[in-house]
Amino acid sequence: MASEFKKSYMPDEKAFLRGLAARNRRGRIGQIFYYIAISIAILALVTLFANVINEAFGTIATTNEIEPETLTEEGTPLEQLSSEELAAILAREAAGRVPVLLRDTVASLSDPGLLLDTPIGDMIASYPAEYGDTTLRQIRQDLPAEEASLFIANLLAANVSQPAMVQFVEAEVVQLQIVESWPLFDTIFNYDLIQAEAAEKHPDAELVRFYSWLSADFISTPMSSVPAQAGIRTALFGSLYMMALVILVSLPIGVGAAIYLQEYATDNWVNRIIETNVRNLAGVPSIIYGMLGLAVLVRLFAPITAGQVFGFNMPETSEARVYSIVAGVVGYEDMPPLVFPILAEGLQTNELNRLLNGFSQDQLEQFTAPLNEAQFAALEDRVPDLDLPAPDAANTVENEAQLTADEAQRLVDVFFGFRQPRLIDTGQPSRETFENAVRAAVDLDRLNEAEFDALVTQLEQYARVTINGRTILSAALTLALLILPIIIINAQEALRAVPYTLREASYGLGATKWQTIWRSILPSALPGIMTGTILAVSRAVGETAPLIVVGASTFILTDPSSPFSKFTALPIQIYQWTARPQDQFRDIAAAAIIVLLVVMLTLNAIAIILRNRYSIRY
Amino acid sequence: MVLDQEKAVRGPAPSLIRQRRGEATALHSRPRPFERLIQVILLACGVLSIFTTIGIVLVLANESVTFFSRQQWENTNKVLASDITATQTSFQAVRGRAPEDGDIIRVGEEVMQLVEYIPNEVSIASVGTGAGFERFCAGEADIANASRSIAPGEIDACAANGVTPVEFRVGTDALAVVVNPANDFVQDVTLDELRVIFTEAELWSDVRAEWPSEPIYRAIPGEDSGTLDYFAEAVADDNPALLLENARVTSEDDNQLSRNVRENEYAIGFFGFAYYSEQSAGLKLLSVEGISPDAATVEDATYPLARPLFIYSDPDLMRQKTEVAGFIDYYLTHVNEEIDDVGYFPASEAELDEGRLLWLDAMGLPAPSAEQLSSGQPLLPAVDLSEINGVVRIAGSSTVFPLTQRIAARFMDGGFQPRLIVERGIQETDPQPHAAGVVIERGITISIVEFFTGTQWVPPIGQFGVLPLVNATLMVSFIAMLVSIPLGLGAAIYLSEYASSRVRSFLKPILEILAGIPTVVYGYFALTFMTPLLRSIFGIETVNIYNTASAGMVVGILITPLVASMSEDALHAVPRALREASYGLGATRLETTIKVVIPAAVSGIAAAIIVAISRAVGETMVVAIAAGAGPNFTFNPFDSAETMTGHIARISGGDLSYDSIDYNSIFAIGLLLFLITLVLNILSRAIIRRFREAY
Repeated sequence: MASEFKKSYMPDEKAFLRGLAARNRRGRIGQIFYYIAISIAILALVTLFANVINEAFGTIATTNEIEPETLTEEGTPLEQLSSEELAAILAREAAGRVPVLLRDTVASLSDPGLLLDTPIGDMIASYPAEYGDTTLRQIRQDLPAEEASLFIANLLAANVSQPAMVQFVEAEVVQLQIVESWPLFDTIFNYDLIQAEAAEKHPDAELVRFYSWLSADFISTPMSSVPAQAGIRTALFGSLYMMALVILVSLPIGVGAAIYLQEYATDNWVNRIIETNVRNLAGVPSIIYGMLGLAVLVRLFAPITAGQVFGFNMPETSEARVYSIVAGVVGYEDMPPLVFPILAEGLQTNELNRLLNGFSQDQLEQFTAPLNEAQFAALEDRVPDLDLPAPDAANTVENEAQLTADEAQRLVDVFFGFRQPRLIDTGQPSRETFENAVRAAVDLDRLNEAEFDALVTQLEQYARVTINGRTILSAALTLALLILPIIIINAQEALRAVPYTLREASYGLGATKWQTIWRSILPSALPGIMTGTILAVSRAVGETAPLIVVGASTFILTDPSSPFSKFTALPIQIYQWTARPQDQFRDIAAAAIIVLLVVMLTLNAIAIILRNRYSIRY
Repeated sequence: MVLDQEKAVRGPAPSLIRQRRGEATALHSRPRPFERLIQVILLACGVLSIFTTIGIVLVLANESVTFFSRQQWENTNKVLASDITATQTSFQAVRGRAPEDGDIIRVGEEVMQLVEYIPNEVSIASVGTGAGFERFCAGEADIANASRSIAPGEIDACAANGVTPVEFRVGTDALAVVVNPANDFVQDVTLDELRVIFTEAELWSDVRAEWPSEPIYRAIPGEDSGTLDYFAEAVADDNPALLLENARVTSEDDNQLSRNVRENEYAIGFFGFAYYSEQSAGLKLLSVEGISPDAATVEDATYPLARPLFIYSDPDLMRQKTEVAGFIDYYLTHVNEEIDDVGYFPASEAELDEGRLLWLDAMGLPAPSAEQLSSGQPLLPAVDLSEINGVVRIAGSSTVFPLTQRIAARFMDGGFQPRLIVERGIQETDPQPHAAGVVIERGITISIVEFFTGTQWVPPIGQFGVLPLVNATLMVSFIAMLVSIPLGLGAAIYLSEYASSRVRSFLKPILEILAGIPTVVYGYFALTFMTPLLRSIFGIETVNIYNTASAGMVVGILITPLVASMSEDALHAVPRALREASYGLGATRLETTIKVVIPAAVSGIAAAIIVAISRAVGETMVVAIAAGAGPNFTFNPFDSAETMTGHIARISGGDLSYDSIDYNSIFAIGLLLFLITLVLNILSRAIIRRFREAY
């Protein structure tokens, strides 16, 4: 004891003051450290937002393939031209695309083969009466090429509005392209540099000062492989659809579980397990939920999540199958004429992009394997962004195809000419459908009976309807499971905050337990429960990893129509675009991030308002 | 009683509340019939969470089991000799990588299990006669190749090991020295004269004065020839190079040599006696040391340029190892069909018969009668090559080697092949006949050890070592913690100890916003801001576009709000009285914080950090976007490396076939990930429970 006293001593005043100064200095240094820590956190947030905004707005350089002023002699702006004049321009400048546009417009056919074989009067509402009984093929044969194009263009003009025609002309003839983009801060601070750079790199480009990638069009148009034309409509709808389903599923179950745990559960082992389990689930990485969704919802319960048991035939999932149809055609061993080079030539670049983007690495290899070097180089030129597997020298097929490029083009048209492939609409298409498709595309004299049959069989085989559980429902259920623990914990918190006196009062008035809960406790806890739920849902809206695993599609052009539709979502779209190497995709990713953050901050704001406005303090 | 009353004033104990609640329910209300149902439904909602966990565990475990038991097929062998028919369960395979018993193999569509692998083989070592006897006598070889008879000393060495050598004559290595028939001056030469003729002499007269002064035209076998070696050994001091230097013509083709000799009057040449005995026209054979070579003098080796070739074995061994006896039987039966091609002089039938009788004797079989001997019937029983199995080890003379090798090749081609005895139609495949020449594929499974210790993750070549992925995950998490612990703790201490309530009410929502931003946005931030920043600081060459440093730092920023808010809760829970006591003692704010508040809240802070680690380990989008696509076992934070989560996201993002091993593999990774995070989460809650300082 004595020695301990010796060690500790009170310093004299001088020493104390000296020590005090040092301690205060250390205190200030500590304080500075804390300031720095919190400043960095705030700085991170500010930088993050600034970075997104920086990318989402800026300067662009654009070029036109053909200046719109040169299209008419008077140089009239396109908007002031009549539909007929526009049709004439289309027929003159983009003759090859006119039939495709028509097909896209009249995409309500039940069978692609019919477009060429059915009298157009049966297909298209307004048409010159005298041509009612002819088919497109007939028209193409009867009239000189230019007149046929003009006729089809007029047919198109008769069926769409004038602004739509203007859009067609802009897309097909003018072909406005964004060649380069610069971020916002450069635009503000270094505009001279941008101008110099643009003048040097793109002499004929027009420089647009301040371009917003985020625009009304961006929100309202579906996806596209061209950044400037891409939008998030389908992704936004997908996210909203999912959000609704998530709330529908997780709110009642989560609140139910919370009520049970808080109001009914006695302290026994079952309830302890549930309680512990909920807390553990909250810490499971979201990607694990994705795997649960993939194995159970997508695969095991595929008939349910794909809507098959409810009689749905998921027309939207047909697109993926068309890819495999073509893959089947290409991988068709007994009939070398149908090789990829021809098929690729028959595709528009954006279709080609779409096709290849939809393929797995294995399928890509199947595609590129038969190419010779020149063909492969040509293909790479057309889709420079894709990392294509090199052709396999052992497999190279000489391009001595029996099918002409024209025939291949037609076969491709049959399968690709429509934005919404129609083959699968009515469930498994009949063999006749496939026979029609091949007849429509291929000059039959060139194929003998056996080859024809083989081709049809092959197509049929690849187009077999498979159940695909990668639907909105699967994704929503996965997300619901993911946020369930959060909802339960939050709701429990809210229920716990309801004072016991309320219960006592209710019981005192003779209410049963459930009456007490339903009439007294729940209403008081509701704001808290809603706040917790909204925060959880906002987390679900931003979740990406589970959706990737569950199998979000990356390229969807149609709005989701049922819980059994294929889906994409905002975060998925952001991920896809971010992962692309081109700058312009980063720009639209930033624009999409702004939309996502707005959605989430809105949700958060609602939650905070609810909390502040309705929460009752006891 | 007094204590009880005090409690009642403060508020009832939880157990008491429950008890009273029960009483209240019982006393004041009659439960309606459907209320039970409601309670059950609510319970079901709670139980659903348990099903979720069970589902996760089952799914991950199930697919992982598939992953570890799944066959991948590897090309190993070809079916060779006999077709596999529906009834036959063994077949022969060309040797490849040796399979093991219990292996799963596949031929065509049919899957079989290997019941037994019999690695039949004849191995021949060309080590020289002496070394061959040494091995043979030591029991390391079953058969010795010898180009001379065994010496008495060697017999003794064998006897010491209980080995009794039995000699089988298989042929003779003999040389014929020939000149042009027009050459009438040379009839007989001595060995020394031969040396002079083929090396130092330029003219015939250099050898013997009476011979003409014409240049010697030498035609000898080329350097790859065993005949040359033997000639050099017997005549030219074992120096074939010297012979080659002085030769006019060298050729491995005996026809070339004989033609040269035929066409040049002053030519001399040598080759195997076997060749001469067939192609003697236009050649004049010389006798050596006065002995003219013929079948008799060659066979008994009185001709100086002849040596007998033997194989030796041991009777006991032959009786024990049927494959050895079978091989010798086969050797003695077929040696004369092969020996010509090797270039040796065949042994006479009588000589061979002598060996055959020795064989019969060694095997304990009765010697054939005289009639049998003269009838021309084969003396030895025919060998059924598909019946005998084993490994025949042969060592010895390099001279006998080519002959033995030929016999061995014929022996194995004839059916002495590695044998696979299989159980057919495993994995519900149908047994079906298979043609010869079909590829055998061997099924390999990934072992758990391989999974945890392999440093390569390359599914196409069957490499499934999870370490690169785990390593990347740990690197990202470590970097994230380096960022988030100081930032998060600093922010928490600031908020709890320094900030005024006004500042707090402004800063807390900012942290909440940071926490609420979707992780994909952080990924975008990492790729478009953090990576370019790092690259501009450290140089574009040093920093890869995709790197773990950038991903780790952004994950650190992402989990900072988590660390901050959990730590702040813990700090906040420390009662004010403790701080005031510390201030009262004159401590500064920093001292109070570090020495009083943090120790009191340490359990909460530790839990916060562990939860944050778990979050960092499970974080997916940032690493999927910014850390790189491709497993890479590296410790360089500026290199790209794929984490576990990043890999799962990338693999499942494509058009994943449910049948592929890739699909199974991500679940195995998922299981590991799940277990890691589960342990971390349980640990964090255990720490809170265990070490919480209650005030």
